[in-house]
Amino acid sequence: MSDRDHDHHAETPEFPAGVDVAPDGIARRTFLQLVGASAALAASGCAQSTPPEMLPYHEQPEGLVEGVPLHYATTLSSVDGFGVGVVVTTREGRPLKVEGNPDHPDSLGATHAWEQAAIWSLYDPDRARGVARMQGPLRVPATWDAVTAALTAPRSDGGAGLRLVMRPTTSPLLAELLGRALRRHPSARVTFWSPLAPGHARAGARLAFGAPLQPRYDFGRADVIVALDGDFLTRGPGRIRHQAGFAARRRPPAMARLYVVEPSLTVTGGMADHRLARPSGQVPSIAAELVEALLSSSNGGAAARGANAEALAACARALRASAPPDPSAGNDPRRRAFVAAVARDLAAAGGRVILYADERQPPLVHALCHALHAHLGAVGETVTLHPSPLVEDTPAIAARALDIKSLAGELRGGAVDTLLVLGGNPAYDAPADVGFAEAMTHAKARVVLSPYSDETALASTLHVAEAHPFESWGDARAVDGTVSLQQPLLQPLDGGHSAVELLALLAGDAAPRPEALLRARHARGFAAALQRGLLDGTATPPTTAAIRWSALAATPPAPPPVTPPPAGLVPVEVTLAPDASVLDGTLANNAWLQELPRPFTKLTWDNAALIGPTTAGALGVSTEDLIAVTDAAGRTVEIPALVAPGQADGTITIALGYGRAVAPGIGERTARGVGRNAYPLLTTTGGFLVKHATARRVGARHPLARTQGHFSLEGRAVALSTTLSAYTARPVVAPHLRGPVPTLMPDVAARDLGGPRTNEWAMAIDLSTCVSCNACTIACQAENNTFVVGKEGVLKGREMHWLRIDTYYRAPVDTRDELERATDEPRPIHEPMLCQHCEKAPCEYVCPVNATVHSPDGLNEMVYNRCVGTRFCSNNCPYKVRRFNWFRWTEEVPVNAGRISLQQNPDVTVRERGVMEKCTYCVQRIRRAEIAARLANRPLADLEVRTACQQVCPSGAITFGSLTQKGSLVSRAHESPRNFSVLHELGTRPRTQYLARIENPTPALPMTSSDKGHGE
Amino acid sequence: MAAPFPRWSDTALRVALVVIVLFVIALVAAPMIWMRTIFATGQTFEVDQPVQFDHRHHVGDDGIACQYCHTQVERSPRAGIPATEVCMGCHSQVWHTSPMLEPVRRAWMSGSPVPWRRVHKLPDFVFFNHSIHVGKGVPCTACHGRVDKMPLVQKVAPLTMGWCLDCHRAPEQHLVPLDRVADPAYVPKPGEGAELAKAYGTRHLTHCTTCHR
Repeated sequence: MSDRDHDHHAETPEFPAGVDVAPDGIARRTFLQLVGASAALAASGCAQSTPPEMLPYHEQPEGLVEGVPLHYATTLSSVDGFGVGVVVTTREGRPLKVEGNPDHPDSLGATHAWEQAAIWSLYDPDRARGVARMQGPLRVPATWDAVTAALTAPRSDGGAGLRLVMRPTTSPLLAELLGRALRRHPSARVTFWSPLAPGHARAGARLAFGAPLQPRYDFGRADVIVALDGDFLTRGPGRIRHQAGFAARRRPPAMARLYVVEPSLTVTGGMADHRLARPSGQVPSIAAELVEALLSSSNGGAAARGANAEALAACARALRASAPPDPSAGNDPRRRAFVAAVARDLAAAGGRVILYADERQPPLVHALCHALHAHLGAVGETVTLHPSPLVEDTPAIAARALDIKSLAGELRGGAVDTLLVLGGNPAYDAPADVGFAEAMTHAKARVVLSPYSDETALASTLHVAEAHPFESWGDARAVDGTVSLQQPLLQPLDGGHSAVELLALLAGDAAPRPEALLRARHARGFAAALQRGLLDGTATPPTTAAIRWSALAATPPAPPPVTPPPAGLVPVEVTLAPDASVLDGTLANNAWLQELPRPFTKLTWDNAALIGPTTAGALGVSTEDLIAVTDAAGRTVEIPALVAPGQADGTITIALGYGRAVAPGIGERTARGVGRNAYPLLTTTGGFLVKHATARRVGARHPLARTQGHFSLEGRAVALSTTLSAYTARPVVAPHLRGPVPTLMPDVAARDLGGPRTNEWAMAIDLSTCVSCNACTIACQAENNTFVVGKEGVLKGREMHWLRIDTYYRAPVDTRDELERATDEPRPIHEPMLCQHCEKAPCEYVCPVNATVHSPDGLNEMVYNRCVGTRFCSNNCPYKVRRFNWFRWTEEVPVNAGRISLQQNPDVTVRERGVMEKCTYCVQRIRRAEIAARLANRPLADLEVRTACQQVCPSGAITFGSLTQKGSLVSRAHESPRNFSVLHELGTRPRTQYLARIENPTPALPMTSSDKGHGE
Repeated sequence: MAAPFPRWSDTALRVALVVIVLFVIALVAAPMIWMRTIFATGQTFEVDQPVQFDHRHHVGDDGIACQYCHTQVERSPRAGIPATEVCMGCHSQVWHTSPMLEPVRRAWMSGSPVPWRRVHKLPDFVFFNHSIHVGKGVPCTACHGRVDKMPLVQKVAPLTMGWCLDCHRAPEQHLVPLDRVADPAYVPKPGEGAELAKAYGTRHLTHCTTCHR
């Protein structure tokens, strides 16, 4: 399982180290002796045991029926401040599961992994409690009065010594309270800080339009999408809606085409029809090349006409001037061909285009994207511009805003006596050249609102535990300005408070009541908004804005000179990226997210330096070797290397959010010791792009826990794909992978399974639209009470996820040469793998105790109370989707025990040690829906039963339903020409079937690998 | 040479062998028999409660329907027991100073519920749903017996899986019209069950995930 490299899977031991070591604890002989003795004693015991107690309610809560879930609409704010409407399922007052809000424009009924994981953070046992004074590392409990006294006290300096730090937010209520607080303290200043704040995007909009307008993309209408180092599928405002729109255009016949330029494989890059792996630092010159290609005579006509053409050409020159010298540009035929193909498609698309750039790119690149949208006619077609919903962009607040570097300067200068940090962790994630952790100690009073005793809280004088969003009143805006409300689902479990309360105190309200404040802020339609989750009519209509062409053509400052690296060190460009699970580190303590395999690397419980094969060769390292990455100022991070397909030459990508400084025994115990802190490399000058860095081998090794170690298809028809042109010419994918297979077993349809057939459950997963966002994996974990096994467990291959996403590279990536050739296009394909519910299940007939049987409605049933743990079923399963409970996970990984059990779904058994478990097609949801339908004497409608994975997928890649329902989506999917079964030749007749991935490459660019796709 | 074993050794050995075989059989049979006795199933033992709630009086004499107190039985997997509020609905006026109702009044005033002792408890790996049974014509008395004649509630059915399957395999033996489900005295007419089974579309559900998830 734990492959060292892509090179030598054959040398990997079949069983990882340590799996044959007996667990600690009692030995078998002693155990049997004790069992014998206790059995003898028990037999002599009394006849009846004491009946258990049954406690009724004092007063039945209104509307609550025990056993029936209640759903509440609320909002979660992403790290960038934008709101995602969610609907939370509660049972008997306990929130259990998060689903998307179908009415919310930025959710559309789906969520990503972070919204699913928010429920775990609610019950996190490491959350800080109440209010405390910090005396050194000691946390001395205090009362809310201390906070009131600190913040409501009138100031004689008009707030000159008062500074606030907040996370970016779109909340209208916080905007109002902040405005009142700043009016009460006219000289106070506020800093909006998050490492993931869209600073460059907003600066780019300001450059292009003169105002920080918020673009809203409609990927469903785009024919050509160009991602310039931008992961629009899982990053940035509106990401869930982006994924839904994008997925709608990945199904034949009207398919969009995606071009991606990026240094490291991202979720978006994995869906690219054509990909160019180049360092982020080269993207500005690539963008300049693209503009020149668009304006050239070969793409003549509309693109070259007009006054804009001059300005665009000037902008391209400005881009070239701003970028570091790019010696490879002239000698890169693939890049030239790529850019030419992009230009050709953009010119021909008639305005149905989107160009998207990541936060890493300088503002000029973002401005260029806006300019090209205007020039190509995309504005109003695929892109609309809206006033920025961010609070920091309102003029009154913007006038009082301060950047974090200036704030640190003021702190060091002794100008600040009271520092109020409302959420976020600037002592950990502020840029290294700011030195915020040290600077903040200069303020006499430091009041920090934070859910954990994190780095910033430990440096405070007064630490207020922050209430979870599910315990707070609030609001947020979507990208289009729609306001959605946040309502608490339970009283704060740990006496936490919200930013609303602290800001209200600062505004002079001595006894703030957040509900009343919110109600006053949104008086009209409040009750209806609580029901629906959003306020109707709050979406802002699109604005029109003209591009300031002159500003784009202005000459930027020259880049600093490059000093050659010292001898013996390998020069690299380091790309810092928010982690796919823990983002900037705020979610580092979330065990579900730590165990969620990151896309492509399948890494858990760690971060790594992703390097390409050439760089690995230059360094002399392979996967798991430690390297030291040093920036130009000498700051070093030691981190294990991971040789990754698709990693651009000369670049290293490191995920942020790890290496948290957690004192033993307090604070975020799950996050302690996990990964390496890469924030020392983040600076205000460089941002996420650390140019002129060097790397060298350290000599030590560090094991990396990955859930998948082998990525080649080995020529087997397991994950199929083909091109749109081939599919249009011959709309059939794999006729040999469908239909009956010779077998000795009797036909399932003819078997009498004890009753009239009603439903026949089945599933179809569309590989064209699965992007590997991992929302399904974690939704399944939340729904089905799946435990966390920790890093040691993952190293031994014992992770318990019922649904995993297998990622294969269709280009050969086994040897170093193959990896180098596949750098641009390793051509990944994702295949979610779960129990196939085979009609002829190999697991069923080998169980000695009949713990797994087949139901009349097509489910492969798993009966935990019969299972004795022979594991023969898992042995026989060709898909290896069965997971065994090797240990009592509540003992082996203590975070599984205790308060987190409040999250567990009461409809699903919590499995003990020694039983096998696997996907059940969410049988608890099926039975609940069937019972409801039968009581109402009506048939089940299609899509009335939705499995957890299906419900949460933003792409809608998973279709589930009954084959016996006429016209059901799943029966149509099973009859689709794209349909195939995995390992069909084994004759298992799986009910979970797949739809082959269709790609839309342009004939102008040849495929870089010899693999042209299967199934033709 | 003298015989090493006395004559009776053979008999002793044969007896010992028979005893061992019988012992091994008993080792298996004894627990199986034990589990089917009332000592293991808990049937017929009256369970003492903190308040002597007499169903004969409330249901038989006063004619209070089952669903008045067990309000969720038609909507929820669990029938539930009434909140203290329901008891006080009457007993704030009726017998409101009775010493027998002292624990109920104390529960109401203090907010701590009356700690009833549970009589019908299925193992945690069984997910039983009341609403589908009640909603499809299975009367309360089929599983709970004549509660209207019980001074203290006792378990009359073994609630073993085999007992549940007996009905699941032949539900028509127990079905009553939907409006008579809570009528403890109702006796179905001969053949009525079969008619109702056809009318309700009653299925013979014996696959595992009917109850085990």
